[in-house]
Amino acid sequence: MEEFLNLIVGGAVAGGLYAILAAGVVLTYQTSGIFNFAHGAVAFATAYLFVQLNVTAGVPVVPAAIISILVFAPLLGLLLDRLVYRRLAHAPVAVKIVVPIGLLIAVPGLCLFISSRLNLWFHLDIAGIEDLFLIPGLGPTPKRTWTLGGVLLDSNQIAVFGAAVLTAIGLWVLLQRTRLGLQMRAVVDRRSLAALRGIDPDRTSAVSWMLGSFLAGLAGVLVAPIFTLNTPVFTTVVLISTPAVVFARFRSMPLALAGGLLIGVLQNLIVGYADFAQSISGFSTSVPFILLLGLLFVFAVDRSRRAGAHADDDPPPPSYGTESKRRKVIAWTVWSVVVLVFALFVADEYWQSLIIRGLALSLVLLSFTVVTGVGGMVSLAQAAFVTAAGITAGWAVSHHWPFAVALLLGTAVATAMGVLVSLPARRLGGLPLALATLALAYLCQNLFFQLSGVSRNDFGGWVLSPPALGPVDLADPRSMIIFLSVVLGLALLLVSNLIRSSSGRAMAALRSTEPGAVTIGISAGRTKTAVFALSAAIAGFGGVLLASSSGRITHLDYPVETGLFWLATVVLFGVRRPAAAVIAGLSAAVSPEILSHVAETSYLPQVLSGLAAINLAQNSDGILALTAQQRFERRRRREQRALRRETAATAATPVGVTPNSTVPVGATPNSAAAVGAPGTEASDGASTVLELRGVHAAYGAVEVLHGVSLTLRAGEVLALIGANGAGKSTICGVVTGGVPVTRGTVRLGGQDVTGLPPHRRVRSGAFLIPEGRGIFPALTVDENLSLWLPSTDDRDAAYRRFAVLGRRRGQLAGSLSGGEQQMLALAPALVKPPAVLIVDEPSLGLAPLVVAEVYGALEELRATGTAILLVEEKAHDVVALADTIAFMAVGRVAWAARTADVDADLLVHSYLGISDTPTGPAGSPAALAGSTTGSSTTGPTVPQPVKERP
Amino acid sequence: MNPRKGLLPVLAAALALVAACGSGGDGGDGGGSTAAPGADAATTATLSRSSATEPATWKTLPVSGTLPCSGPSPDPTRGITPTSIKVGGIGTLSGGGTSTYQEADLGAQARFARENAAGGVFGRTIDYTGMVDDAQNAQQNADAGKKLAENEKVFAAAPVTTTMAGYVDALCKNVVPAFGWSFNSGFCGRANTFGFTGCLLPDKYNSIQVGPYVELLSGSSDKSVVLLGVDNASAKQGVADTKDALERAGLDVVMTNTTLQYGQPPSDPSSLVRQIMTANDGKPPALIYHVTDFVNVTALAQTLTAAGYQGIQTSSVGYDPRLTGLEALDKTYTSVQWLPFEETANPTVRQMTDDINKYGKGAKLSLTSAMGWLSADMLISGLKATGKDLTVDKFLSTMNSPDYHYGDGIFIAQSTWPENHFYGAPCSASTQLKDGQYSLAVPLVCNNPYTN
Repeated sequence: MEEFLNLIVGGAVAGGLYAILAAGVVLTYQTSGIFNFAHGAVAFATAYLFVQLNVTAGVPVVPAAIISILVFAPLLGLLLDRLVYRRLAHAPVAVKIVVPIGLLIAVPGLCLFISSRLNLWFHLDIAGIEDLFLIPGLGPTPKRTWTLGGVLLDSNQIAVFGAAVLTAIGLWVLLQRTRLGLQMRAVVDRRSLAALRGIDPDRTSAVSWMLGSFLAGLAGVLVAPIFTLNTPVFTTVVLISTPAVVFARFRSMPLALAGGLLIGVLQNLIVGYADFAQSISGFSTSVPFILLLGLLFVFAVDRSRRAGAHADDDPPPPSYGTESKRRKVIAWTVWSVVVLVFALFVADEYWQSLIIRGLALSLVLLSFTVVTGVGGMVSLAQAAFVTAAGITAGWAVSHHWPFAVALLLGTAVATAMGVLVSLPARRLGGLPLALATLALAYLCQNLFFQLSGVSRNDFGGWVLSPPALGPVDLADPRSMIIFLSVVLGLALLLVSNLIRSSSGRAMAALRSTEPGAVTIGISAGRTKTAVFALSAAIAGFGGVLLASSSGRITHLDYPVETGLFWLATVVLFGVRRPAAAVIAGLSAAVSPEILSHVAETSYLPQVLSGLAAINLAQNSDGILALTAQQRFERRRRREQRALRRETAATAATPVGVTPNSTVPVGATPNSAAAVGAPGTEASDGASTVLELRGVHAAYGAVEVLHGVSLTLRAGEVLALIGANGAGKSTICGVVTGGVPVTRGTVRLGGQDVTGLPPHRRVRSGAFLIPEGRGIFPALTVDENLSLWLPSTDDRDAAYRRFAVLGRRRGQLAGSLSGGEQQMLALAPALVKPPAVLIVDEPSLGLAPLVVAEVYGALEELRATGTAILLVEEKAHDVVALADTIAFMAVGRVAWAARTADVDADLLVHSYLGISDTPTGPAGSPAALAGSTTGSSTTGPTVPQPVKERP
Repeated sequence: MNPRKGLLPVLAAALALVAACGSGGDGGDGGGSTAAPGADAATTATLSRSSATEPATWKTLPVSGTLPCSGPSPDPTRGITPTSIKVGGIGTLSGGGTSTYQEADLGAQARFARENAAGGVFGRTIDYTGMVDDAQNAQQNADAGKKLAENEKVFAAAPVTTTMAGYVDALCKNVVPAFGWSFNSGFCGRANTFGFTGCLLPDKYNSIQVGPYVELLSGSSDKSVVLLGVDNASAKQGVADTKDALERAGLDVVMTNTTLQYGQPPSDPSSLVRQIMTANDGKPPALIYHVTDFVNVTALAQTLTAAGYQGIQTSSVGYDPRLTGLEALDKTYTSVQWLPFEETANPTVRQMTDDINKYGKGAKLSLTSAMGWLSADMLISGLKATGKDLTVDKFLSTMNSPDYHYGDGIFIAQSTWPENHFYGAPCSASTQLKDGQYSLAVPLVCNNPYTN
């Protein structure tokens, strides 16, 4: 019992470290969706600086700690956020995983590179990392040790535990008690809505990365004296803390902290009690990965994300039109011939061996194209497939089986492993899947490949030299190059066909929507298993050839990190394109040789990987797509210029209606419809608060708004109606800044806000209640309100207006009923009326009584002078409230009229799409009059049907 | 992440491996709990102690089997001109945040430079092209071998300082002699590779050096030893073999623990320390042998001292002139395979120190620069033994003959070839770090190897 307690106390103290690390990883994952594999690298950089300041420069511990942890680490976080992370927000999962891996390699390399340069240029004497034997920490150096009961505690451990407690308290205060924390939580909860409430997501992202880096730096300075200043160990420690991140479901800070302590305790108990661990090589090293795998199954099976099937995560490949096929064929043929001629006739044996390596590696890398490019699943276990296949083949050859049999056997074993690994894939997706494959790969490496019968370590691994296939002796480099080129060509054909085949389409369907794909008869599980199996088979096949190109294979030749590096290389060139695998393979094989001639420093590869990470953050589809994209952009610009010349010619012809006519509805000079009083010189004196002029907006290359003009004056309600897909919500987006405008201007309160991001428009008085409740479900009612109403008095006013909210102020907003949520969304606007309120479908899914209440609130708001842009699909509800109704059809305002002038016929015709309706019956009492109450129509209006311009 | 990577651990790993030479890869016969029958079986080890003038000697074991890579060379005069001999090295010079063997490069270069300054070997200067970096990566390691053999076409590879052995295949195919410290398996079982203290990762032989431990406990009636090792298959085998060798030498191994994580000391060592402190019938053992990496040794040695351990702590990774300020290692012993730089009375130590200081281009006196110097020194001794009429084949047959030895048995063990292609020279000394100074505790002592 005493032993048990001792193990728990000791474990908890040690777990403090994992708690700090997990908290940092969770924090940045929450705000950016990026699982920061580079956390350990930032920790290393900070610790490196701290140690150099303290040891080399002689700065005392406290100032050194302040400079490195409080100044340097946050600045590094800020820099990385600016350069890299911010650009990754909409990148595919594979890129989000690969870029931090690139930084993981780059950041420590850069530290050492900078040190060596400083030594060289300024003749400084910065100690090499191998000269730093005694690593100082925050505590006394050397450490002091005490015995507490049966537990040995040293000053470093106590520093860790103290830091963990302070971190926990500090994070709690920051996130729960400060406005910044509230804003961060709001961004985590609903990023786009947060921007609409005036929170700058970029700023929050920067703050969270600075904070995350600070935590990493703190952990780094704590880790260094306990373990040592060494990147691999730093990375391992971060990986060990990963189960705590999973335990927190990647979100909860308190759970991450608790999970860290728990991992410390669990590990201590397992190692302390599991006596059998002694006899199993690698068991105690593998405990964190077993934990990680188990926790992933329990906590990360997320119903909404499976196998990369999440539209937000993995956008479809951008279409660059039809890339010239002829051009591609010519380019590829020329390059293939050049490489082959060089390899066969020019290169010496050494260069030939590099090219053989590159060709074999290309085959292996093609497996990523299948699993990640086609399947949308990030596998970090490919290196394990390669090792398993290589060892199997080596075993077969050592039993004097023919090489062909060994090759098939190796491929078969890799395939079987692929099927095995795919089992978690059937339940996990995205990042959890990647982490699961990573854990499996580490288990293979530390546990299974360790077995002496498998590793054959004492004999230098398994011999696997190139065989003679019939009359062709592959030991001859030229035959091997030709053989590999043929095999690689066939594999490329296979993969290209797979992408176009029905299986490829099934996988694509599965990626975009799993439930949808399942309804049309695609078996999700089977398809994913097939993809994994095929990918593993290719990796295994290539792996055997790769191993035979080296002549032998050991269990350490292709460690997990090599797999990560391979993935990074493929993604860098473009994981969706089979050809990228070939370029990546050849580059990976020959670049060390080329770099060794270019550089006088051995850190060049690391520095380059950093540049690659930055490049990838900007071009997430890879280098190959980049050239296609550039060609496409050039073509598009040419076309646009031509189009604009044409438009200019058309615009020269006069348009029938002058803008300043007596009717408040008219066409703008740009000939699209303008609604409301044009210009600012409105007849009733109310100022224009919102004005759209000839607005064009597009999602990617698809234009959705084709020149919309609207004007809205203070105290006016403009209802925007129309069928699904007419562009109503896009207009909301255009007004608030969520959707960029390609042409035209948006003015809020007289100020041109066309180029401003959403959070800056809030200052001009735009308040959007988006479709489906404008609330933050994970924040309490009170927190929701305080985002817009920081002062308690204002919130109390809101509670007086909506008593029900007052009763539920401590409750999570997500737990309110639909009506209450809509009240909560409206309440801030009622207390502090904005200049413009944009409401997107407020009645959606609400009971009629509640709808009446919502409209009552809008009425109240109008009375305060707020202009309201009300979007509804159906006209029925809006007639009572709106001063003007505008009908939208396919990206244009089809017509706009004073409410009184809108009759049923017009609406029916409009909704039925009979667009050549004769101009509405002017002044005739609307058929909807029964439901109109007191709309303040001023004079007759002639609705002007705006037909598609020729 | 990679247990093979590390900063000082790169070096430390090597040394731990050297200390606990893994053997018996058959996997079938378990850890050496039963001593296999053999000429020396069941006899306690006899030690031979060197003095300042008298070498320590050891009895070679007869070896059987032919060695691969013995030639004839496809290009017997590769790298040789009437005025020069081309030599290049292989080693880990870079790797993310890891330490490297760059000083080995400088150490070798210093030794070659002295020889060249004196006119070269039989009129041929050593054209040393520097080391090819394997970046601690298996592929680049194999490529490095190919590059030296097929691209740079060197006569010999020296120094070789890497934990990976992929380079050997190209060296074997082209019959390129190689020199280094045997912390990769490439220095075992091949006619063309020469570890300057022999093959330290033998297959069916046990040549673990037990001398220093026996000597350190010679005055004590308590012969209890605790062995600590790391958690991987070859380290476990190494610990088992060490236990076997120590017990044959009359020591009493009362506990072994091989659950330590490579490069990562236990975050809560309490439980392990309690076990150690009671391992010897409820008492602490007389000697704790850390068969682990540098980080584990420094962390645990300190913790054990703090927990009140008064006995002897020894390891194989605690010696380097740069470590003198490390209080964590105060009073601990380290086994060394050649005399440390502090033994300035020894002429070879003085020569090595002078060379590095004079020609080392700023290299420090370190274990790493010594490795490079020794590799170069052994190559030069082989060249001198071969004579002016030099070809690769002649060089190899000279070195692999009973007439050739390297080492004097005082500074470094005398190695004998081809025997030492199969197992190591079982000699080592021990140095103690005390109050910031190393002093020799046990001079070079040899025991006899045996068959597993």
